[in-house]
Amino acid sequence: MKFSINNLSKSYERSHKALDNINIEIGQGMFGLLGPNGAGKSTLMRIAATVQLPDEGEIYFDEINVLEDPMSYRKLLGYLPQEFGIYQGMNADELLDYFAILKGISSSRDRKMITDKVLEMTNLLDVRKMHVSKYSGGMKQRFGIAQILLNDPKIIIVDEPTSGLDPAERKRFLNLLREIASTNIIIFSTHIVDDIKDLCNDMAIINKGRILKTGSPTAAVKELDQKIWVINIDKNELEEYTRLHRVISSKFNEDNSLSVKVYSEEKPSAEFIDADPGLEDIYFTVLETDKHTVR
Amino acid sequence: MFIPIIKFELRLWLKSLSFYFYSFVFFLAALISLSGAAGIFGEGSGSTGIANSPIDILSTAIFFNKLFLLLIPVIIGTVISRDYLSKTNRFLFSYPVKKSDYLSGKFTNGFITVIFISILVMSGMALGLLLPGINSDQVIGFDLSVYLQTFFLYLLPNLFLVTVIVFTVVLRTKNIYSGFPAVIILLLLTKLISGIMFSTGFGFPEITADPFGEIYFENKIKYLSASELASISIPFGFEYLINRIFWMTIASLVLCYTYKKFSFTVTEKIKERSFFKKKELLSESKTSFRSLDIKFNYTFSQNIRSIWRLSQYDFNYITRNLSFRILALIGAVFIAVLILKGNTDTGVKLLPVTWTIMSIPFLFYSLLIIFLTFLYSGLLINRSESTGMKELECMTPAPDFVLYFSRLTALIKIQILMLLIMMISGILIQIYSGYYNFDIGNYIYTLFGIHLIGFVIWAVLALFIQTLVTNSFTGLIILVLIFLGLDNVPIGDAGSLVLKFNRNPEPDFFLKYSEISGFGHSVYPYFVSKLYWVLFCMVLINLTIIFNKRLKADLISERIKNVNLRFYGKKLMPLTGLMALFILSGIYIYSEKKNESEIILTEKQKSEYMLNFQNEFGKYDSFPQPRIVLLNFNMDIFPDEKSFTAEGFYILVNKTNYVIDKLLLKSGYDENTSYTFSEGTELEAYDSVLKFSVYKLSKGIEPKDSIKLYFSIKNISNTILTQNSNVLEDGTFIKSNIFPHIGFINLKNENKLNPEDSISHLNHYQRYDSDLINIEATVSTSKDQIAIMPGILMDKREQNGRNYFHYKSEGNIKFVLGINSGEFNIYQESYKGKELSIFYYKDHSNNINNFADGIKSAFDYNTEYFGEYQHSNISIVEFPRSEGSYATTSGNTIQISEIRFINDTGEDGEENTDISFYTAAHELTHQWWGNQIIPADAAGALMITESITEYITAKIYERKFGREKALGFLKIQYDRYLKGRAEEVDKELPLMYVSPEQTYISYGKGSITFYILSEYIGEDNLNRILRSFLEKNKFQGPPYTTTHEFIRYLKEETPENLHYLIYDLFESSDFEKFSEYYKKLDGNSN
Repeated sequence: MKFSINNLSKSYERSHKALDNINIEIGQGMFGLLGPNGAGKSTLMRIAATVQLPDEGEIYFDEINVLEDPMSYRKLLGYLPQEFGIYQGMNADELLDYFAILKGISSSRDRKMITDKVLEMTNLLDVRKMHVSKYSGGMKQRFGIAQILLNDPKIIIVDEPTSGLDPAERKRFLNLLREIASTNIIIFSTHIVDDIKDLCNDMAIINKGRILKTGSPTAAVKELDQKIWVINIDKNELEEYTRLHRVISSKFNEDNSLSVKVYSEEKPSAEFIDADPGLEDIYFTVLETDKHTVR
Repeated sequence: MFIPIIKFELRLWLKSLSFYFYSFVFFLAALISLSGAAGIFGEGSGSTGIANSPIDILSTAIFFNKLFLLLIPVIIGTVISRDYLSKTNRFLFSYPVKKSDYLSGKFTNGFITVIFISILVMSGMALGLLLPGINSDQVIGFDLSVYLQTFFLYLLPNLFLVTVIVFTVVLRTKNIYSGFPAVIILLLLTKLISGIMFSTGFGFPEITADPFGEIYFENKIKYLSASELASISIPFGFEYLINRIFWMTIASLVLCYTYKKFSFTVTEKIKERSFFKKKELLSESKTSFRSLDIKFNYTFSQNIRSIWRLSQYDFNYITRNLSFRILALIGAVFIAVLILKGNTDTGVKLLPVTWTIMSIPFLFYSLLIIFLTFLYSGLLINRSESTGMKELECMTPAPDFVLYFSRLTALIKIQILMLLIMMISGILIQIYSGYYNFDIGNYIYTLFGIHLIGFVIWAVLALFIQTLVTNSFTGLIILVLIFLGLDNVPIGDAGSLVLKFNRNPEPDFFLKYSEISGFGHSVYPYFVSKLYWVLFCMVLINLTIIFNKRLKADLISERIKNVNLRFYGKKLMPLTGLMALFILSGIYIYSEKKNESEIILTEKQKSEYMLNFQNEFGKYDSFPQPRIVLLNFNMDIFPDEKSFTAEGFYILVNKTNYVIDKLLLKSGYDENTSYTFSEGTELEAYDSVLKFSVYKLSKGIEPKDSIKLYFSIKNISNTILTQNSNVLEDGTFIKSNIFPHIGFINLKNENKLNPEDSISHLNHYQRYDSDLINIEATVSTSKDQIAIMPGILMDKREQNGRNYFHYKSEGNIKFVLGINSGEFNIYQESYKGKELSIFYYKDHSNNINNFADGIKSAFDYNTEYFGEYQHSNISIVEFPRSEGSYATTSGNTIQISEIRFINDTGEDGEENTDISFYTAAHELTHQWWGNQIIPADAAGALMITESITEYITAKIYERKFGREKALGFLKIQYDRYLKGRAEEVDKELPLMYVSPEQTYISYGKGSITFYILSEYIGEDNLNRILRSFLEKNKFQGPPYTTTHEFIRYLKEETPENLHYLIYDLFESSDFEKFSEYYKKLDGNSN
């Protein structure tokens, strides 16, 4: 099972390229797309979900040319947009039946069966008769997953599903995704590094419409071994340090001093201590590197 | 905070494209309507003849007031939706904005926009009169005060009231579309008030209860003639002031209420249920999801099933909506009111037969259905986008056409539901009226078989427009403009058939339904035209699917790109094919229709043609012509083929003192006629459009000599678009215009010569080519039908599976023929030695006794006062209402429209006029007044026939039902007079010079005039004078009698001190005096 994006570009206005020559190859498992707000994640996700067209480029899912034959692809696709609304005055049963029809489930008996099943899986059975437009944030996200599951998709695209969820909800939600991911491709975008850390076997970091880094999170972390250094400084010194070193992140300690992480192939000076790199460091390193890249 | 909110909001308006669109459209419409009334497109159309008379300015403003009913919900909806749609309400309500600032800001903003556009409308009206090309005769000087009065007294208060109501409803329901149902409900309620209260006039309570002040206005101008209208100023008075104060108070109270009830609390309360926290999200024990055996099916048949299932969801969405339910309910109530009240408006009440039940409310109801279609098409198309569910829907593998057709199907279901509501309301009304002859088949055939397709075609257009534009409001306005605009495009018959979207070939086609002949031929052109537009709809459907809004596109360029992508697919081929097919069939229909309809299309072309004709043929005008003295023919009527043939001859006698060597012949328009002569002839000139020919006789006809003219007539064959013959499957009614006319085409308006001019005495008022003639004929028809025509039935036989009837006139009669054929039931009765027969359609037996009574009463009255009835029998024949709603007499037959056979005479004590009795009495009275005495072709002719007949009918009515009923009957005539007078474009003529089209004088005023006279000199005296006038002139040839002679007669027979009365009533057209006489008459009864 392979999902590949080749040379994909999309611009909204002539000057502003939302996506710039994107190339990604994704295999089975969970794929995380990490990037700050406005990086082009949602545009990429929408194009991958065939709800928006790119200016250029190709998308393949196994043998299917997605842009030329979107219908065959959509039969295998599940998609949860970052934000979505729901027809008012309809309950979960009705809405899932509605989506099941759209997804081509012909018999009403089958639709009933699958609706029961996905409601059970997403733990919405008790609120099935409640109007979905009145659901809470977490319930609504789970309803989003429920509608994804209706057509037993081979590829699932979820766009920032965890934003707006409280930590407990978020955890449950990610578990649900992992459960489904066992046999499928799941592409999910986020700006929260922790989302990727525990879940994904593959990932890409995107910023300003370009892919900055791809690979498995473990391998990426390994790459930074012996390259991340930390030092405690006074907050007034930050400016100077930023000038001298490649500062990737900083945070306040309890004593109000500043703990600064820098990237360096070698130990910058004796005061620096070798730090255990994490996924977050990769993210910031990549973004920091990007800042200095001249296009 | 108030001012910033307004500024902020106004800036939003100025940035919005739709604001400019609405402003432009309203301004342009105002400009066009006034410049059009002032004759910029040719003839002007102001009600007063002056385009900018105060009344016309006000009427135009009131018309625009109606359009504003549509625009205000758009504006208010937009203003409020800016918060709710963009969800800024959640933020805004947490800012330190005061409720009063927020509400008044919103309201002021909406109202300012409304006022701005209404000022544009007023200035458009003023500027329209400055355009080049207007007719300066139809414009008076600009008067600012008229515009100001119109604006401040009428327009502004109404706009305020509507804005308040819409604002309240939208805020209360939190549904930005709910303004539309609200204004419709308001409009319907207003009409309901005037409908329920409509009786003889409007009093103070009705005027006050009318929220728009229109009743006051209409009351003021109701019976004014054009010249009176042109001179009055904007109506304003105490009653109106009260009305305005009343409604402005209500509007203010409603506004206060809204303010009090409004709360900033966001109502979208989100409740977290406690069970959620107790349960684990996933339990391992649950069976795997993949073990389910779910079948996915993407076949065509599955798609069709999906369309049906999905449409049910859309249908539920609409029908669960409260405003839809209210509208449907009000629609049903309105149907009931229209039928129950509308039916008795004229004092004549029809039985609630199925077609009346459907046709009375149909116009109103179809407008409602079309409006709902326009509104809900937008809501359905934009629903997934506006709720944010679009992306979820978009990524499913459902084909585009499934999504499209599910919406179309939902709209059609809504239309069907509305029609079902109409049908059920209709049946309930029938039950309520005690009429149990339910014709369910007719309901279903008419509503669903015939009319549904027209609504569906509108639905397709609505979905197309709503797909092209980004918001439902703009779509709705465009659709309404298309709908209204179509009426005002000036193109000919053939052009409008193929160019005016979804226009019925015959606009009043519904009104032509007859229980005898059904819809007749008109269903063929109807379905041809609908099929043609269905072809167009298939193009539209393809385009709508291509232009769909499924993919995300924030920019127009992106949308165009999406469309392009779909366009270059395989859809292009069928689309081009369909388009070509549509255009080809359009050309075909156009050329067919153009061939059939005469070259003459417009009034202008017609008068040009007649001018040319006059130049070329005018020289024949003065040629002496022989007169018809005998007509003999054989006619074969073929009801199944809807055709007939006739062969026969005239005997023409030279009654002049000159030798006649040219014969001028005019044959029927819809027939092919060929001639053979007993003498040698040569065709000298021919006009193929008017079918006018001039033959040169090789041997002239000497004075008192005669020739035979043989003719052979066949109707021009019917085509699918046009029926050229009068023959129907059942209920055929052929008139004498199929037979050739002798003499020059009468270009002068008939019956307009001065009665003192002796030239007018040469011809009688109905024909200029014959006096009284002898008619003999054999008419054949199919074996299940009977043929009836004037004369005595000499012989009846069956031959070759057809029925033959041989008729011969008793003595000589006027050449006015009615030939009927149909499957009739026959009622027969012998009365005082005369045979009475009534030929009627099988279901129409309700009024037979009333007809018979009318005949007998009229027979008794007329024989008592005016002498013998000249025939041995009298026959009444029913004809379908598609041929007219009138009654007429030819020889010893009376043809009466179906509509008078379904008269509801009601229970005793009801106020209904017995129209059947009246009709029969009126027509029989014509045997004396019209058939025995025949007036000359001069002004006032109809006073002798119709006024006297109506007067006698009133007396017969009085004798039968009492004076009160007779006065009720005269009241109807008086109202008819007032109405006709108000619509008169020329000046009102005195009764003795009445022209034929002024029936409000000849029937309305005339009947009352004679009745008043009988009050002054006594019924017996008046009738004695009438009789001696009759005796002197009956059965005469030329010179024919005139009103001039009659008045002389009258004056001789009445005392001199009453001559002023004769002058006032007959010779003058003094309205005030006449009204006084009438009112005295009414006073006598109290």
